[in-house]
Amino acid sequence: MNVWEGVDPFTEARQFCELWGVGGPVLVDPDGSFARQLGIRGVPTNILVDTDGTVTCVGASTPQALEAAVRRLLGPDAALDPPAGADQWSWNKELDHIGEHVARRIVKEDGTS
Amino acid sequence: MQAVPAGPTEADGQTDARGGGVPVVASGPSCRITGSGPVPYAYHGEVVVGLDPEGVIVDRRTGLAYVACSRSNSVSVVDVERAAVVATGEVGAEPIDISLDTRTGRVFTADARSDQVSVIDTATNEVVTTIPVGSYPAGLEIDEDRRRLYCGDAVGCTMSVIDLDRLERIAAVPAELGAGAIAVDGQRDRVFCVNFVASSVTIVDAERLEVLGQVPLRQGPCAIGVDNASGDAFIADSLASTVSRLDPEAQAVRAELVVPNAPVGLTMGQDGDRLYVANRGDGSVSVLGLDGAEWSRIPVGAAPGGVTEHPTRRGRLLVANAGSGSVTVVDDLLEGPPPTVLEEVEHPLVGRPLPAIPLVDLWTEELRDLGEWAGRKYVVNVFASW
Repeated sequence: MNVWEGVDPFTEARQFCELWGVGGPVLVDPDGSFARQLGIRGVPTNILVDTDGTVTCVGASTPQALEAAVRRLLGPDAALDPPAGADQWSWNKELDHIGEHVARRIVKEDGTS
Repeated sequence: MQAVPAGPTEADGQTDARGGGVPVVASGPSCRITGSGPVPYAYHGEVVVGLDPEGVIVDRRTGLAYVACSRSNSVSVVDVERAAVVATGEVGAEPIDISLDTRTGRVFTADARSDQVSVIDTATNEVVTTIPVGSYPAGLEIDEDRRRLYCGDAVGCTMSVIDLDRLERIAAVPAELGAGAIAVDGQRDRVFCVNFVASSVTIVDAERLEVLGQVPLRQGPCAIGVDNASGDAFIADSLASTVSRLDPEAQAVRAELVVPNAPVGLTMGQDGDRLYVANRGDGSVSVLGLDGAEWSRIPVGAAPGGVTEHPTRRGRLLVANAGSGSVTVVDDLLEGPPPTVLEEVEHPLVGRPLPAIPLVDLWTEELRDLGEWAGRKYVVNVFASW
């Protein structure tokens, strides 16, 4: 759920999703009214919901906290499949990748090389 | 620390900073709030400024605050006592950070998407010149003793050095990808440039403008302050939800302080016994002792970033809230570590049903609501692009 973009929220959110490779449904809450109704005061925030629609966790923004919260939601016997290539994944490699994307995006917007 | 008398509050310490009368809660799963008794802060007001405000600075001569509004490409001038915007001036594209030279009365903004620093004359609130810097400038800091302005160039991977009087870029010191936030230790002739993408800090000899070292940090460092007594630097690691305490002599992190969620802003308290950390993911400012103990947590607007302490009113904080497009003015009333430990509480949404409100699908632009996922276990990630 995208919130608080301020200017041109759909364009900004689409560019962000392309940059980060975000797939799946994305709902847009431009003025943050839904977030406010939920008592969400910042980003990023994760909301975990059980099968009966009950919220089990709010927050869990670091990878470690999210994994722990998902494990609690799914139960002790559930298997969490790591994403493809996870064994070779590292924050620094990912951030380098993001940096390259950001640099390319800025160069493209400026029309310079 | 002297207690700061509360100004004309719009809301007392137990209600929403925006005066809505809504009980304030933090938003993390392991949130801690004060126990019974009065809260150790008092709101002075909340001022609506431009879009996505990120940087905020106060002019000690006039008491006016200057706020860099990154999505409005403007600077809002705020009368802090009246909690009101008194002027707005246009700058370059996406001003992120802001700094002030009290000697000349000039304000500087790092205009990230214009690759420049705008120079504003506060007498007229108009841009008098612009200074080209490296690509995507994202952080600024004044070195008054050397009459310099330092600028972190995020994509350029440099720290630009600007002569404050000639208003020219006189040097570029190599940094790393994501160079942004900067701090100056004038007593020890050091400058620190934090590199958000590279997850590191570059330590520079201020006299010779030579790199002394690069120290790896936790993920996403984006704000920094220096403890004058020890010379240690405190660095907000936004993606790790920690604050690293860096020993510059050893070029090593000596401690990691845990904060609620996505720390993006940080400033050292003027009394030298605390630091203030703006938690973008939590809508709060943590008041931390230098040992990492969280003394209090102050709810502010949505998705806060830049935070500064008023230069002549100890404990008065100004917090730029990117999500709500506002600046919160709030007084930290603690004179020292609180006698009681903060309590852990859960977000009030936990254990309750998630309401099904229609929202527009980003890709199809059709209305959808979360009821579609009923009967399944799922995660809603709430995000913004900035």
